Formats: sequence, structure tokens, C-alpha cells
Amino acid sequence: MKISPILDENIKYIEDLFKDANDLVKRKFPVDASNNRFAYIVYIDGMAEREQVEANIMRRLTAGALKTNEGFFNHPMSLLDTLKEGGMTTVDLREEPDMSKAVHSILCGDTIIFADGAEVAVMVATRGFPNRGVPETDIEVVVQGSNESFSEVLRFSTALLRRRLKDKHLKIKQSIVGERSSTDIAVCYMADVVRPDILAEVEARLANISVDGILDAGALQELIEDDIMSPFPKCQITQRPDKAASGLMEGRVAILVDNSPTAILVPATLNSFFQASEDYSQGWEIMSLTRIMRFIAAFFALALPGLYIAITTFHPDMLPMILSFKISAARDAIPFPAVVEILIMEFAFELLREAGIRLPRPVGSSIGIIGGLIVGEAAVSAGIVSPSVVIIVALTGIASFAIPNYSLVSAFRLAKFLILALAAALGLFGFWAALIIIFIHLASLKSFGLPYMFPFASGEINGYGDFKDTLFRLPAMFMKKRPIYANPKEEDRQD
Amino acid sequence: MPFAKNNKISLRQMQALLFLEVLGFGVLVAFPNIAGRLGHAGWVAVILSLGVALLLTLLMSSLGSRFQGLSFQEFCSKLLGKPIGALVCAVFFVRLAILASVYLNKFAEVVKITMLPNTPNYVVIIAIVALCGYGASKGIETRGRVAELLVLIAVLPLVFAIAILVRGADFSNLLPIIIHTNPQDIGIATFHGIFAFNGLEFILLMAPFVANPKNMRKSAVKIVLTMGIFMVAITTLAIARFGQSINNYTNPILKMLDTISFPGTAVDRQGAFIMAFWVISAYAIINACLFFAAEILKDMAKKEHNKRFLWPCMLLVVVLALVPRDFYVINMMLGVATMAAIPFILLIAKALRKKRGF
Repeated sequence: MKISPILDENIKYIEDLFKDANDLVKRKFPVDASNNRFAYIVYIDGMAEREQVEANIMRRLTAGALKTNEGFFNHPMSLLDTLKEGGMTTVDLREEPDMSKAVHSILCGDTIIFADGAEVAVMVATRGFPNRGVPETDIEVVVQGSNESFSEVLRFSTALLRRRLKDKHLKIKQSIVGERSSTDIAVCYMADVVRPDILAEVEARLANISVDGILDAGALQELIEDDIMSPFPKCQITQRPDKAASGLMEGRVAILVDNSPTAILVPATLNSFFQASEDYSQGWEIMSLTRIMRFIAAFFALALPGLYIAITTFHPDMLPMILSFKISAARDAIPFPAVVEILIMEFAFELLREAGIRLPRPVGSSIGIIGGLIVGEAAVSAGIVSPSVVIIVALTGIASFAIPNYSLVSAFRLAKFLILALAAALGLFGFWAALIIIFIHLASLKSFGLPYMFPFASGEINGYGDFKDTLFRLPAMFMKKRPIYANPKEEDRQD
Repeated sequence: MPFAKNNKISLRQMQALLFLEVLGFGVLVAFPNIAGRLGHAGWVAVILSLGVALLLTLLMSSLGSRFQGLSFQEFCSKLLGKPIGALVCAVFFVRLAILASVYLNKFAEVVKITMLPNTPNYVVIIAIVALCGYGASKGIETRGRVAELLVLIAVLPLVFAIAILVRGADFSNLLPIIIHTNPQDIGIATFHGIFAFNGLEFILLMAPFVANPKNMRKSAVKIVLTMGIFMVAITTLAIARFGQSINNYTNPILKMLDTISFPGTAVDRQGAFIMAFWVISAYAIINACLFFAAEILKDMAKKEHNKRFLWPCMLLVVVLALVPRDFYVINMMLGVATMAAIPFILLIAKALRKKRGF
């Protein structure tokens, strides 16, 4: 819909549209009283910076109007030029001929000025909604290095990326997603490093989204990732601007979503979920050891309860005799089979995890202590579970926290139950069969065309070079080529 | 999209698939036959049969490198005409079904003996067929990637087992080699030894899916040689361990692996960990049989996807595995046809067509 040159028509349209929206601030004011000409300013309280509107727009406009004898809006220049002449000091302003876009700008916190006789509105960037600045990351904390997190304010997040990558090739393409939420999203990439086909695929998937609203990056992730039925994450969510910047330099694409303090990095492989920002800010030797520990932890998080069930229930003869006796002695008074014990403890652990997240922080930590120590101890004393099961479940839980990506941990939590079920039914045979099912599933996944298990499988696509940053993190001097994500024409990252 | 689904596997993936598909059968099924026929001189037969297997590998990989984008069924039809081509495919289909059922049967026995004495065989059979069907339904690319991932998990326990078994081996048991052994027996045992490489015909069936078929000959020979070394090592160790008494055991390899013990570690009976190898090799070989059987049906029916043919193949394999009859001899006869006779006929037909300028 075009903006009408008759101001009252525009006013009626806006006021009808925003009927009962009490946070809308609007004012019709004279700009050429002698010729009976008016302007109309509108913005949303709380979304726009009131100070800026008053000082840089209203005061200037009314003062400018008083200065001109012929009438402020009676110039042969465009409305935009007239406003500039009138002394508006804001840099970011533009003419908008489309009413729906003008309305969207109002909703985003901009201020819009309509004027009599003008077929365009002027949009002044005054966005200034409440925010908590640049917060600290709480799910990807590192010991050494920055702990800055992306912000809920999209512009802050893009600035955090720009601050880290002062490169003219960094592109930040903004668009809007969600019919009702009209959420701003930004597709960020290094124009020379990104693979054009991956970028095209990302843009195509974003363009195909048609939903009511996107309120978080996680919701957007679900709409663009491959194989939605799989619990394993095919897009990497990160709170850390340094991680996103590093991803961009590798040729990946970062998608930022307004109101969400996280970025979506694509494509993602299973290996990328084991890489933490800290890995590159500390010595390669210790970080290689840490990487190996993470993979072992992942195996424990996935398979330990299943392995315990398989061995204690079906193949106790595999254990040294003393250990086997101790386990069976501890289980003597337990009224449940081992698998039920494990399920009870796993359920308790999941409850504690969930309660720990929901409760206020000071109370949340005490829940861990109460749950872990008191309830665990009481359950053992009451003969509901055996001590070895408590150890196994606790170890599994601790191991899951050693994996640096929460989405992956969630997938492992689900997969663990498949292994548990098959191991409980078919012992070690079931255990191995379940592991093979998970391998098949993982090997069948792709993220934006890239095999999910790369470089552990299909490593030859990039000449096995990506192995340098997998189980081991080799020194930076050995990683002269960019990983698989990058455009092959820009594969060198060191001379 | 980059790295788009192209239904192709790399040479390395082909090697991983072959390794997993062939080695398990050799160790689990074929070796007891060799030992039964030749006793302590069985290792000679394994070495001789490795030589024959290498020749067959050369034959099949040479043929495979000439498919030029054709499926196996199209290649056979082009060379031998449609009716004979269809017959050849039918022979391969039967062979795959029988091979899967023979292995399945033996595998279920092994699981019963070593792991699940109280679980009925059919539970294990249905479970493994379901697992393999799931794998086969994911297509050749996934199969290739899974093989790359599993090959290490399968090889490590085997290497570990060999390393432990070397300690208790008495290598004087390998002697004398020929003195007390009839050369005719060695010949027969060698013939049986070739079936330790059951599944070599997968080279031929895999060829249409290999991204770089021109170089597959070298890769195939390399991996068969590696497998051969493993088989010779295991055979030699079993003979060195049991000596003349090797004939007393139904399956000396299983017996040997089951005795693996490394006291003082957290796990007392490491033999159970060899289960990883058995399960993986069972998955690999049955998965391959199901996949290629469904592929043959798909090509013969001229359809695009093989998924709808997987269910009947799975059902057939389960039924055959449950039939109380030993298909070993039939499997061997079909093996002669698919591993040697048909490839040889195809090679001759190809040469003749080339000579006639087709």
C-alpha cells in the first residue's frame, strides 16, 4: 500500500491499525500554519529512544518550521531533504513510500513522520528498547579467554561480530522472518571465504520459511536444519561471538536472530560440537588431551548405563571375581532388576537437572547438593538402588557435562535410552547393535549437504586435512588450510 | 548443494566395506572347514587360497572398472543378452540370500554359545536382520561411511586378540607342513580356503557405486591382501595353540577367542569383547547381502529406489536362516559361480565384444 499525499488518510490508517495500542505515541503538529499544513509523528514508547525523538526530531522540526517564512514543508525539495534542511541531526533517516514497511519500522522502534502533500514518509532510526547490554555467556564458559555473549539486541550482536572481524568481506544481510513476529534476522558470512552453494542453500531455506513467529534462534534452527526427525543437532548454536567469528573465518554462515542471544552456525558436523573456543587459546598439548577426554566423556554419556546393564545382567563373568561379588552383594537386597534401578536413577537425575534449571540460581545449586548427596544416599540406604548404580548414573551425568555443546548432550541423553533398552534385552549383543544403529543414523545425516560424520567418515573430501582438529588439536602452524566449510578458492589461511 | 547425494562411495569406503564384509565370514564360517580337512597344516591352505583370492580380486576389479556407469544388471544384459543377464542376476540374488542366511545361522549359534544361552535363535536372527535392513535402507553412501567408522572398532579387538594369543602359542605345532599331509588334501583344503573369502563378489556388485572405478583394482588387491594377512595370522595362531587336537573342536577359532584372558585388568574375560567384531562383521555381510539383493530386484524391475524390495529380501533371509537345513554346500556351489565362473564368463564376453568392435 502506498502512502497517501493526504495526511489525514495516513493518520486514519495508522490510528485504525494501532487502535487500543496505548504504547503508541503520536502527534499531529503544524509545520506551515499559514497554509494550514501539518505533519504527523508516530513512534512506540519504549521501543524508541524518547530523548532522541524529542531532542533531535521534534525540537528541530518545530524550530525549523518557525524559521521559514514560506512554510517549512513548502519547499520544492524532497521531504527528506526538507527535513535535513530543517536541522534534523540524525544521520540514519530515509524516505519510505510503502505504508506496510513504514508500519513495520514503527513496530521495530523507528519514528515515522508523515507530512501533508508528501507521498513518502520519513523513517528516522530511533530504536532504543530496553536491553541488558552485552551479557556474559552462561552455557559456554571458558577459563581463559573472553566470556562475552551475543546480545538479545540484533544490532549489538552484529557489532560484536564486526568488532572481531574488521574485514570488508564480512557481510551482514538482514531480512525479516515470521508473519506476525516480523523478527529481524541477519545472515552473516565472509563473502570471499563462504562456499557460494552453501550460502545459496541457507538463503533459500530462510526464504522458504512461512510461520507466525520466530521468537528464538532455536525455533529458526528447527525450520532450516536437515532431517528434523533426528535428535542430533545439525546446526550449531553458540552464544559466543568469538566462536561465531571463528566459524565465519572458516567459511561457515552465522545466522543471528533478534531477541535471541545466540547465533546459528551452519554447516555443522559432529566434530564441530566437540570443539570449544578455549581449545585455541591454550596449549595444543593440553587441549588435545582435553579433546580426547571429551570424546571419552561422550562415550560414557551415551553408553555407560547400557554397558553396565549388559555386563552385570548378562555377562557378569567378564568382571574380575571380586568386583562381580561386590556388585552382586550390593544388589542382593534391591527389589528391582538392574535396568529398573538405572531407570529410577536416570529419572531422578533428569528431574534434578530440570529443577536445577528452573529454580533461581542461589537455590538451584543447593538442589544439586540435596539431590545428589541426600536423596542418593537415602535411596541407597533404603535399598531402592545399589551404590554401583548411583556411581554409574552420576558418572554418566558428569560425563555429559564435559561435552561442550548442550544440544549434543540432549541428543546423547535420548540415544542413551536406546542403548539401555537393547542392552537390557540382548546383553552385549544388544549393546553393540544399538551402537551400530546410532552409527548408521549419524552416518546418514547431513548438514547443508556436508556429511555429519565428516571427517571421521568421508574425510577424503578434503584430503583428510580436517583430522588435524578432531581427536587432537594440532598446533596452529600445522593448520594452514581452512576446513571443509570454506570455498576451495580461499582454502589457505596462513602463508 | 555441495557434496550432494550422488550415490557413490570412495575407494577407501569400498575397502572398508570389503574388509568388514569378507573377513567375518572367513573367520567364523570357513576356517573350521579348513581345519577339519587339513588339521595343523591348514595355514598352508589359507596362504594358497589367499593367492587364488587375489587372482579372483584382480578378475572382478578389472571387470568392475569397465562398468562405465552401468548397473550390474545392465552390464550383464549388455554383455550376455537380456535373458542370460537376468539369469546371472537371479543366480547372484539367490547366492546373496543363501550367503546371508548361512552367516546368520552361524552368527546366531555364536551368540548363543558365547553371549545369550537362554535367548532363542530367532530373536537374535530377527534383531540382526532388522539392524541390517535399517542400514541397507540408508543407501550406499551411508553404508560406506558406516564402514569407515566401524572398521576401526572391528579391527582393534581383533588385533588385541591376536596380540594376546601370540603369548600362549606354540609355533612348533605348525610343523611338519607337508610330510604327513597329502597334497590332494592341501588342494581340497585350499579350495575350501577360498571360501574364507566369501563375499569377494561384492567387488563386482559394488563397482557401479565406486566414484573412481578406474583405480579400484589396486585398492581391491590391497584390502584383500590385508584381509589375507589377518586370516593367516588367526589360522596360524589357532593351529599353534591347539596343534594336532585342532580337529577336536567344532570351531577352533571361537574356542581360541573365548579363552582370551588377561587377568588383573578391570575386565576378566576379554573374549566377550570380541563380540564387537562378530556383531560388526555380521552387520556388514548381511547388510551387504540385503542391499545388493534389493538392488538387483530394483534394477530388474526398473525402479528408482530399492527400499520397497528390502522387506521381501529381509523376510527371505530370516526364513532361510530359520530353516533347519545346512546351506553350506549350496552356498559353496553358488560361490564358485559368482566368485569365479560368472566373472570369468563376463570377462570373456567383454573381450569378445571388444574384438568384434562392439
